[in-house]
Amino acid sequence: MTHTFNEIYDLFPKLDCGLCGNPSCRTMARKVITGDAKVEGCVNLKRPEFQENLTHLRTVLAEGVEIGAKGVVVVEEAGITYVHPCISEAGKVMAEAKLASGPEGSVNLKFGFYDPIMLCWALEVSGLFKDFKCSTNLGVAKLNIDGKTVMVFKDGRVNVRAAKDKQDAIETIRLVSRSLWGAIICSCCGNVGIDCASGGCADCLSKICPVLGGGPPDPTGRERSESMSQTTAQTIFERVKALPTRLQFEAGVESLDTAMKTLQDLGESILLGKFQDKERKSLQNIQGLLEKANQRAVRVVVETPAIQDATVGLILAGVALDISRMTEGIKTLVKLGVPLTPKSCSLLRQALSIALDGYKAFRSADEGLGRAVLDNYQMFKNAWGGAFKESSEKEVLVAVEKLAVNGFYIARLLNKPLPT
Amino acid sequence: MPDVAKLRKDFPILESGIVYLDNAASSLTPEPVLMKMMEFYRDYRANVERGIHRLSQRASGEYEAAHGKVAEFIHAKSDAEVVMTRNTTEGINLVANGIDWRKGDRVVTTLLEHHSNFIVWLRLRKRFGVEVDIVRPSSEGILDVNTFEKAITDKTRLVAITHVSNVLGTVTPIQEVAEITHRHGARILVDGAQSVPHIPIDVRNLDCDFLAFSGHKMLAPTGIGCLYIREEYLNETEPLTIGGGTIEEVTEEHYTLAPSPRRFEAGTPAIAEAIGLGAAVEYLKGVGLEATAEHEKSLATRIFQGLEAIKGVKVYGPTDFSLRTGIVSFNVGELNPHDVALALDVSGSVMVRSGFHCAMPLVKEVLGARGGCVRASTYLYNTMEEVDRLNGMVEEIAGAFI
Repeated sequence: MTHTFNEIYDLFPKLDCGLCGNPSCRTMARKVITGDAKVEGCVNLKRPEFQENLTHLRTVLAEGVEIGAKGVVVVEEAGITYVHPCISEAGKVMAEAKLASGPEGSVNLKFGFYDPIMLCWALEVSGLFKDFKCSTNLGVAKLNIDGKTVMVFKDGRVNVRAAKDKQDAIETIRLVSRSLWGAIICSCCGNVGIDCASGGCADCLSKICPVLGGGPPDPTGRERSESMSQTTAQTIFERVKALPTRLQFEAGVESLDTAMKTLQDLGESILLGKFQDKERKSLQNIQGLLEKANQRAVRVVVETPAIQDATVGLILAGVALDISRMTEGIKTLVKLGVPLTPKSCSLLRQALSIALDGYKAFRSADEGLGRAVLDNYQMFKNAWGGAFKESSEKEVLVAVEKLAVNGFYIARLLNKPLPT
Repeated sequence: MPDVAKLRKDFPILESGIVYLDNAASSLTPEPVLMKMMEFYRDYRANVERGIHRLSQRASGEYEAAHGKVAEFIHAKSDAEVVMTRNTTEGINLVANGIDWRKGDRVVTTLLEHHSNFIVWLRLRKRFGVEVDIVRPSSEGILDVNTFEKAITDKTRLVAITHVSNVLGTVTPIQEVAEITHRHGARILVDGAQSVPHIPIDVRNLDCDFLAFSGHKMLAPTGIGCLYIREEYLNETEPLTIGGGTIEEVTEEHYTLAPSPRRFEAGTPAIAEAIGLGAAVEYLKGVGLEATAEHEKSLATRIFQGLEAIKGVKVYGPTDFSLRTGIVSFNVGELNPHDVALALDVSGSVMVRSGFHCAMPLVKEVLGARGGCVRASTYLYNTMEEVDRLNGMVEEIAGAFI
């Protein structure tokens, strides 16, 4: 019997540590399934506590992977595929659409279209939809927009029931498509759009990421005709000033600022060996702040008129994702609740400063500081690698590394090319 | 039990990991059938019945042999009783157009029918003033023989009834209905689209006068089907089309039609497809329909029981599988059946049918599924693992969305 993507992904450590070179275990799982990466590339799977997972993973992969997990090779027209009067509701229509990215449509989707986990996540954090239900196992979401029932499928199909007319259905699908922009898997690198917007994806540092540059797919199947020139993420705070969604963006950034400040305090508490209720409370606060930032980010993506400008919303969500991963690192340290060894303390100190400086460089569009962060990260990584080999507290070190690598991702964003 | 693992190797399309449970719509085609068709194109591609050269002779031989194989498969008295058609629908239309209807004649059909065995009779109303009497099944889709006692009268000329419901997989009491029909001097046409591929058929035992079925639902290619016509009615049934190949003699004044099956098979037939059907019948015979019928029934029972245990899932038709074949129809809460089918495909590569299954009166009026339903239908190559995958996926869908 063949296995599904989720069965395989579930065997990964889900630490999103970035040590394999991918920003998430989901990307790594995708690459392992297609043969673009080997399970041995995951440092954490080799740790004793994941021994069983590794063995199981090898068995499962040998048994074969279900075709849906490998992505599909489909040659079909994108766009509205079906419009028909509702049989049960007179005067309403049902419409079905196939969303496809890139000018070639969905000709060869090596890794699939939407990441099933990000599909559910993106629709949920937006807070835009009523009666929202989603299954990451199925990669299917069901939601309600103004009385219309919408089903979204991980292969890019969207069904709308009880729409007023075809145009109403198209507008509904557009809204869904924009909300899900960051969940599209890049056929080149296996990362999702949001990975690219977080600086986590290293494959598009010198060119515009195809997912970001391609824009959210349109249900009419129209290709984007705007000529694509590029700028870097350094300019996003400038660009935002002219947008009607400026206030949403700024409110989102404000949440991130507070989250980073809280994270800094938490880091310092841990360095002092403090793991009290106060710290646990702070962790919850950060979660709340990130949720708010994400909601704002989706609003910017959805409401910014021009698609090129809407990328700033994705960047906001991407940085929120980086900070969320940093927070997971801190959370692990708080949860373990044991004082760190001097060696780990020193690494945490370095990691914390990379995280804070990375964010600071991004906020102030300070290219010099950004470059310094990239250099510091390389130094940190060397020291960390040596320590990790010998250390008995590998869990602590992986958590520390998450802080640093995400600061590194944010700093990397500074020179990220964006469509203008 | 058929050796499912072994015979699955004949269906390389399954290697991709798909779970194909849309067999009531169309089955897959095994390699031996494809090879047999390819052999025609590669080795002896020629027209039938007209040529004296060796290729035509070979083609004619194979084409005729296909009739023989099908005749044997359904236990017809002779090859002449087997007419090649495009599909079941064409066979039914041949009968509908082949009878010299008179105003006031009556046709009895049921609400269990596929549209192909339903609207054909409604059209007779308009064209010839033929009255149509419709027998209703129970809410579980069971036909009561007593209702036929009332519906069939001396005015009835034809009873048109399905052998197996394409929505519920329920088997109808053909022998009993045939007995009533013949007692009133009428004829009985059986829609065998869902029975011939799945259960052993003996037309003499069934005592039917016409039996229509399709090749594409029984491992054969698309575009080929059969109509069995009882020997006594071969000459009085008017062909649907006439022309090349159907005649014995033509003068300026008249023509004489050839004996069956040629009289019914006008023009160059679907030669490769007919040969493919012959090969499919041989394949089914080789595996053994008794065994596959049992296998399909146990698969469907497992689907039925599995789905029925899921909260919010409604499964249609009788619980007693002695009266059913390998078809199970269901709905998941208020979810649109197309959305359920799409989720099954996208998320699990499970292929099922959704909608009204060309049986709108049954699905809407009898089952009360106003938005249609989802249908899973099994065949000899399906496995218990596949059934469990379907059931697991439906459970997942029900859990997530209702």
